[in-house]
Amino acid sequence: MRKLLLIISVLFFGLALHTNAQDRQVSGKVVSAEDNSPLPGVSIAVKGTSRGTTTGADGSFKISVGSGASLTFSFVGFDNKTVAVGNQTVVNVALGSNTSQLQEVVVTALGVQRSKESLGYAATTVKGSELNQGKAVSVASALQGKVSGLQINTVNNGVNPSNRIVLRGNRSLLGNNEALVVIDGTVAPSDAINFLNPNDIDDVTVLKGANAAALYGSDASNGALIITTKKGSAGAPKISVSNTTYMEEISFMPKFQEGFGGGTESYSRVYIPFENQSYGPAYTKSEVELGMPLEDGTFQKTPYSYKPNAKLNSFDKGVTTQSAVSLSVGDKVSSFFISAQQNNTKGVVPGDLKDQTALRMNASHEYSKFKGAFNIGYTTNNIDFTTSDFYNTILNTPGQVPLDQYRDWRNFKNADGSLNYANPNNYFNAYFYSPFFNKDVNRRKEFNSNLTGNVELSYKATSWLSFLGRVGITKKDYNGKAIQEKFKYSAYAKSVGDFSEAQNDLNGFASDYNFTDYRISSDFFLTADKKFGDFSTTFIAGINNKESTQKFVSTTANSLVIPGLYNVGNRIGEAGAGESDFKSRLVGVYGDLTLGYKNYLFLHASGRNDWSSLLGVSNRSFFYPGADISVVLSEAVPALKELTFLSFAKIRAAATKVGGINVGPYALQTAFGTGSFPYGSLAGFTVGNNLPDPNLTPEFTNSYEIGGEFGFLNNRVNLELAYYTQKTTGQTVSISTSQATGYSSALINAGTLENTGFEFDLKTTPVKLANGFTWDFNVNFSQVDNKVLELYQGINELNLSNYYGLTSDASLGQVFATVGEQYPSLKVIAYKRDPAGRVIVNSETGYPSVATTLKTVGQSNPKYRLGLTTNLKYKGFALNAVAEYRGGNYIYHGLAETEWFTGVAYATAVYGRERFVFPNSVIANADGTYTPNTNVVVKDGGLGAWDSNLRRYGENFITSAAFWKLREVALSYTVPTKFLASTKFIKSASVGLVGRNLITLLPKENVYTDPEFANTTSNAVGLNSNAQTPPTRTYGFTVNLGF
Amino acid sequence: MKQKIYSIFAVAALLLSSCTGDYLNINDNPNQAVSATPELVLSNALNVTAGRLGHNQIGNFFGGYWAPSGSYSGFAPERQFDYGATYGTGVWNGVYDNLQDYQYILDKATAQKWPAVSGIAKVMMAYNYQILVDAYGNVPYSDALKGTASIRPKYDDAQAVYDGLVKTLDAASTDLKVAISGDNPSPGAQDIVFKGDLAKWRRFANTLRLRILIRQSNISGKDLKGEIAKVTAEGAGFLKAGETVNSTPGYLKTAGKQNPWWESYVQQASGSDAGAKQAYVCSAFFINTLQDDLKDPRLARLAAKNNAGVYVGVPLGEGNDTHLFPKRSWFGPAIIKSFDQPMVLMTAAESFFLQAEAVQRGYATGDAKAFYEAGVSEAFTASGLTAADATTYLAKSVANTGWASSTDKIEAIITQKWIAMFSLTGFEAWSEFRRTGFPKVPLATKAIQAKAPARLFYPTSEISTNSENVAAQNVTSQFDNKIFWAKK
Repeated sequence: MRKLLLIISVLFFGLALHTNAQDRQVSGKVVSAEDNSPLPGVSIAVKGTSRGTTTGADGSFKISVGSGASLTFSFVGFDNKTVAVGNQTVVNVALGSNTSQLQEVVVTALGVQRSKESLGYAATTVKGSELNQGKAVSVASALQGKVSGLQINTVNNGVNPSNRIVLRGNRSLLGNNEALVVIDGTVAPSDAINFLNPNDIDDVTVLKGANAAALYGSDASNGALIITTKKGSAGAPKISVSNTTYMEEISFMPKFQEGFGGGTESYSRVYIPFENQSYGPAYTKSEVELGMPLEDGTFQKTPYSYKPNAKLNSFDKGVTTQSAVSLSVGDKVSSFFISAQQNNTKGVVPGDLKDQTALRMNASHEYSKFKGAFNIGYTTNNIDFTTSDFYNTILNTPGQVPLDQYRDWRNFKNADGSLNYANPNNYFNAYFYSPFFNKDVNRRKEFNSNLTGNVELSYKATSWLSFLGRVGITKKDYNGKAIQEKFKYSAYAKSVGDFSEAQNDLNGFASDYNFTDYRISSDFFLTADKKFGDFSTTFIAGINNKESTQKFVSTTANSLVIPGLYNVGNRIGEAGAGESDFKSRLVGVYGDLTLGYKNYLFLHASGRNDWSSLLGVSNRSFFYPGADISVVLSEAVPALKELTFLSFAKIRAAATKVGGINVGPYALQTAFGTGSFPYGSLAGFTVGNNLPDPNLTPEFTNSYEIGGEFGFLNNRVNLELAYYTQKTTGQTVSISTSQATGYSSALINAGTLENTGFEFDLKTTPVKLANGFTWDFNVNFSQVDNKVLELYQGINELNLSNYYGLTSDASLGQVFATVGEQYPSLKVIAYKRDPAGRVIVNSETGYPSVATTLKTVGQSNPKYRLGLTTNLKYKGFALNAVAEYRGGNYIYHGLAETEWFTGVAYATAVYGRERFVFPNSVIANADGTYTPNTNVVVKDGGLGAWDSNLRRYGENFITSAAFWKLREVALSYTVPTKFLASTKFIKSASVGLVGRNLITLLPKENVYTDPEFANTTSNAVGLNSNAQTPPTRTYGFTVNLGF
Repeated sequence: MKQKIYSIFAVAALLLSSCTGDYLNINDNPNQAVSATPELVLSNALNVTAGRLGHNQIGNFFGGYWAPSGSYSGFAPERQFDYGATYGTGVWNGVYDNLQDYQYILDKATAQKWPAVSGIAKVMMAYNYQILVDAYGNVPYSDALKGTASIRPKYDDAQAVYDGLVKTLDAASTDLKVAISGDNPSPGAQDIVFKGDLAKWRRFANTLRLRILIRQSNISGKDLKGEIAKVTAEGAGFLKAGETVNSTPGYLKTAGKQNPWWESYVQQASGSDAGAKQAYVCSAFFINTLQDDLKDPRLARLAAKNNAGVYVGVPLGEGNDTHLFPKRSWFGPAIIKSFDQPMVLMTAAESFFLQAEAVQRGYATGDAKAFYEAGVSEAFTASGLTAADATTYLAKSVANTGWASSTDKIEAIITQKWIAMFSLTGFEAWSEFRRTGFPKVPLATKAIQAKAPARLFYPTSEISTNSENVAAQNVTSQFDNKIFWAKK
């Protein structure tokens, strides 16, 4: 990238200097102190004169100097260096990098590179080295905590995690809010980021607002991650090989009660040997029977005491090995880069595996005025994971059960002839399957592949005019098979467990599916770049065409004949089959003009018109304009120039409107369903329940942004500030309608969501010593205020999660878009309270009752996000760490509700399972007043209170969602080149220790899980369940060699 | 160069204006139909009406047939009558969703002048609206099913809806009297109830009209006699012996295509137990009434013995380990037959008991005893016993069994109708209990008030989407806000 910096700086600042004939010829080479790579385009000036030159592509230079001369070397992104020539004829110089310098080049929309000072909007670039310092397995986790305004949630874990990547809060109530992902100029589906090899990343530019991204079209209202992969660099071939091995372990489990074992009676505490609930008597340590009488007349027995690590030990230690190799080579006219990466992951859930292979080929070649390039990444995954609720059963099994002893369930008898208690026929639990059995018989195996590639051809017609055509393709294929193994219970097991669901035979199933997502995007645009005196102009105009195609096919056998044969042909009964196709197209034309005056005033305006196939003929064309301005005060105001502490100052402002379409294909017509038809040759249809407005229009986001960038103390301290406000109107929302209309919902344009926020990025180098010790410390902060201003006439809120009503367990906590409230707003079923906020309990039972309205808890998206990064460097050692805080939001722990049902939760035993007076409660008097309750105890201190009654209140499962995480820590040591010199072929070597999420700090009340987890990657964040396995930490060892 | 730029844009503009039309006209749904014919919608609409379990399940509890077994905890609505607007929401949403399909059929068939099809749609709309009124009282009717043209439909008075249904059924008869012809095609096999037999549809329409009229027996000043005379004058008569209104699309042993009752309560297509297999059993009241009070031979047909070989039900409200599923009586062979047993819209026995009551109350002429005994006989044969068994049974001098031995004839009629409808049309049993107080179903043992449920609440979805109209109905109690025809 630095070489490109030069080209731009030459273009923009006319830095090319002239050389004059002089007394003596001096030659040399300028390299980067960091990696010894040659630096082309370094300005070399003879101090005290106007003479100078620049280095060539290989970093070499020649200059004539007088005696006693000094040479000053300067280059964007590096510290200046002055060297006295003396008698030398060869002057070799290594320049140290200066990451805090602001004069960077930023890759903006369409891959257009602009100097950062000319930008009127917020853009942050994360370099590949910064991204990979912690050796994260995925690009998404590598970005966490590093950029203000960027929130990346890892919403679940396991071998195949999902992410939600959002820039600057939410804009769309029900539509997509995730950032656009652009890889080497090609728009890719947002999950394409999961398929990238992080080692391939050259840099990621985060265009935070719609302002920056508008040229990408209507998908860009959510900002964009512009990912540039590595290109071959000029010079000798560089081969790099790396290997990282990580261990993954559960970082914490929920807090359990350790006093009471299996039982389910109200009012009394009776031990029930086969019970899945934990409302039995207090532990006694004496031996008890566990489960039903077994076929040989014996019982499984266990001490009636809490087995402390049985749950934790039911998980494995995960291991990931990541090996990567790459080759980079190039010359003056061509570049070539290839890489391969292999990741093998063994998850913490026993038996879950993922193998990923990622290949990349990037190359370019210039021929005369033409330049051709291609960038292709191809990644495959083999994933094998359980579809069972493994964690649910682990979490909820009574504490006296030696759960971790049941891993090996296949044999009915052990080698010594005794019964194997892990075998389902002998398993103690009458209601839940053994988690180990369940995870092994219910699995999904998937092979998926992702291709992201493009070819581009550019033509430089004149010095100021060029044309570029680019065709990009992304193709995702998922081929999978979900299976259930057949299992028949013994007649004996069925007879003793007759009342139980857990003794149902498994008939086996095989469900085969294939999903293809194919997108092609082509751009053709011209760039005109010309200077007129003090004025510079850059004009871009182009046309863009996108087509998106999806196809899904599945076929299912619901009952298998021959065990172990998972083919749809091997079935009884009808096969299930499904198929769907989707296609959409978009055509856009755009223009973009940047005017610069004297390198300190920049005006930029853009406009784009889209035509989309998704909307009706009269609404499919829409236009959206944007403009921004940037003033470099430190250049423009002479007085500021003279301030020695101020190295740089810039202010900026931007205004943009972007149209976004948040309906999929075929959404404008009510579709007929087929109910459960056909039955043989009999067909049937039913009118759909959704009534769309055929005249739907796009959602429009108006966004305004102001900001400033300041460098102090020779750029040792840099501060970037931004304030934005966005308003998205005419949202495409599916409003619920009275079913008496014949429809349950209508798809219309309504609603306004406002989103304002403040961000700052502070980059400092507090310590920089002559001996090479440096300490960089950076802070990034974001605050988001996301408010629903209006919905549809008379409608006050929209439910974002599934709505089950006031009393259903599944809906104790829900998220809404509610007028006047933060978005999304978390609400729960709550206790009925008196005006003073005390809980009203029944004067006889001591139990509370359900409030008539849901209680608004607060927002489920973090209000504040703070990222801290620190880098310590000394000689070959480097210590990097990233920490992140999020807060101001709440989460509903669905997994806690299941824990109250089974009675394993710590909270269910705080009163020792004795009857108790509900805290801070009152009793309603006949006259409407309330008397504090001091003596009415709940009718039952066990199951009756915790399962049957108090579990019905979602407010019990709410906690603050705040956290501090030590996202990454990396300690590395780079072997000095002098030690490597003897090997001849090893050019660089480094070793390191890396750790991720080593420390997580949570508020005391959150005894459950990582609040970052969610049931969904959609907008309805704020609810978790036990579908997400417990949080983990990883740590590992990495070796990197360069050849 | 400028020329070149202009020409590029000229070409681009030309391409856009000429090509984008066709290029972008690709938004026709390739996956689902966006229009259909009335008879194609009819098969599904009938299948949905007949397959709807929710309202009958509620009726099975509140009407005295069922109780949740002790194998499951929870069940506050059934065990305590403790419920609110989230209970039974499927009744409202499912029925209106289904009505929308009949409205589509009616609109299309009327436009095409196909009276056979429009007549069937009218009968089924009356059938469905009656369920809504019997569950909720006032409901949207005249303003309903109009899509966004009336996005918050106003409510009609329950009595007015009932009057409207009687008119609808009268109009249905007129339609159904038109002979099948080239202009009036038969729905044929798409009519999964009567296979296009319009005479049977007329008898069903007449019996339904009789049900609606007799339901208003507590309303003073209603000319039920005159209205019933019109039904008799229609000419097709009422459902005959063996004419139970059954529906089957040809159920298959495939997930989602089995008889829905079977699939929900008995067995999945895969052979595994159904999700609710162990949840529900016979109530103690039902078992005791047949076993102890009536010594009814149908007990062995309608109920199953427990694992100890005896008939024992669960008192509604109880639910601990004493009442685990295997220890209590499940449903018998007349109820649990096979994955392809038909669903029942109305039993033929009901037709006779309605006629018996009409005569007994003086709304019609005839022999009440004969109708009563025909009803009992029909119920016996429907349960797999013989007419001779019925004769023996009717000869017993036990109240609510033999006609002569029954001091309260209405109680006898309703009690026998109650047995005849066991588990098949539970919602109707609950409605008749609310109208007559028969049979004397006890309250749930854990009832939150010493009152029986009188209705359902308007569902949460309706409260949130049509709040003003719901609020105007002023429904605050499941016990006290009775349906207009209820026993006071």
